[in-house]
Amino acid sequence: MRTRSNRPRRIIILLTIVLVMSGAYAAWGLYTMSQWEETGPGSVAEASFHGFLMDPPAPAPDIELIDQHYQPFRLADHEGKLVVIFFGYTNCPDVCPATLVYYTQVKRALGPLADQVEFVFVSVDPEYDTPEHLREYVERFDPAFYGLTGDEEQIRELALAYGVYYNKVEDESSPVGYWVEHTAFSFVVDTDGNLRLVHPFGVESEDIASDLRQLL
Amino acid sequence: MRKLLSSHVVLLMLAAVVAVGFVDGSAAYAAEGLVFEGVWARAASEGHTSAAYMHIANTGSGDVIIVAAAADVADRVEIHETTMEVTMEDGRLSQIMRMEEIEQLVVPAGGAVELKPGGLHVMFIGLTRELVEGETFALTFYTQDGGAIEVDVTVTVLGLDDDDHHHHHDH
Repeated sequence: MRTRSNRPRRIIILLTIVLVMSGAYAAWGLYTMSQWEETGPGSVAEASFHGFLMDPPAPAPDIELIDQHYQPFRLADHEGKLVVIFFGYTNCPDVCPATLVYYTQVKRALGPLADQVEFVFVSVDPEYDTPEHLREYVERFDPAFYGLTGDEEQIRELALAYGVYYNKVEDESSPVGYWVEHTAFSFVVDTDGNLRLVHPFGVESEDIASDLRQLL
Repeated sequence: MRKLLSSHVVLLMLAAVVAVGFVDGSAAYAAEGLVFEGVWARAASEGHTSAAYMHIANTGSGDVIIVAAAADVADRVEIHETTMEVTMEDGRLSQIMRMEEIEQLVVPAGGAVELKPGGLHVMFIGLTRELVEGETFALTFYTQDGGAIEVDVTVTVLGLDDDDHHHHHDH
């Protein structure tokens, strides 16, 4: 049994994220001195992102799945646009819908530039998430969002390629008998098809929009 | 570090107490000293899962412990907390979302609890009907001392406007 009161747990989680972020910056060689020297202090503000910047950018693992209308979706077909990718599942009650709401806010904040961004929700529960379920779920937020699914093997390989963890946890209280724990990152693929940015859950929509604007 | 954290707690508590003074009261329910504000749930399909969010302030002099919740829109109603575990494995950063059930939700005397996306939420598991944008339904909280408090939940896809949230003090 757990008791929950107004403990500063959130602060601890945020501190952890900040600490791990620092580690990630080092690991991925972000903001290298050479870059700072090249761009000079004048453009440092422009180059400040609210997620983890992949530097140097590497080609994003391709995605070949089907969307909520049974149409094939290939990431490569969307070069020239930014593609924001989230891995989740339709029975996810909290973080997945909250992320899709963030995306609606990001679109609104981008205004006309939103035409140059695709938002993609990839199911990590392909067994349950048929295109029909995805259509009902994703289009509740925005009919222009993509909801993608495939067979178990395709999803497993794709998640591995993106470094996305997911794990079914059996729970009789779930309507389908399990919940899925999963990575809650949003991945941003730039207009050249490179994986450029990763946003952890909780980054404000204005900040995501500002990052996307910098990449356009 | 510990000192820093505890001063944050004090600040949060102060913020919560101050906030209660500015509550407009229009959408607030008070029972057992609890004041509920900005109560909403996500629109969702029958058979699926939804979650409700709100700000609960306790203006009373004793802690209030919520031990259960009920609503006639779902097979089960439970209080859950989403947790994010941030890890670094094989040089790759990961942030894994997990959920766990909360058996007791303590609303401290003079304090407040925020239920919001990515944190604490009331979960409606196995919706017995669709939750439609714009409608309201009743949600009952049961407290450890045997009290029952009913609040109206507004159904929305996108959440309430920021104008409806008075309590962004934890930023």
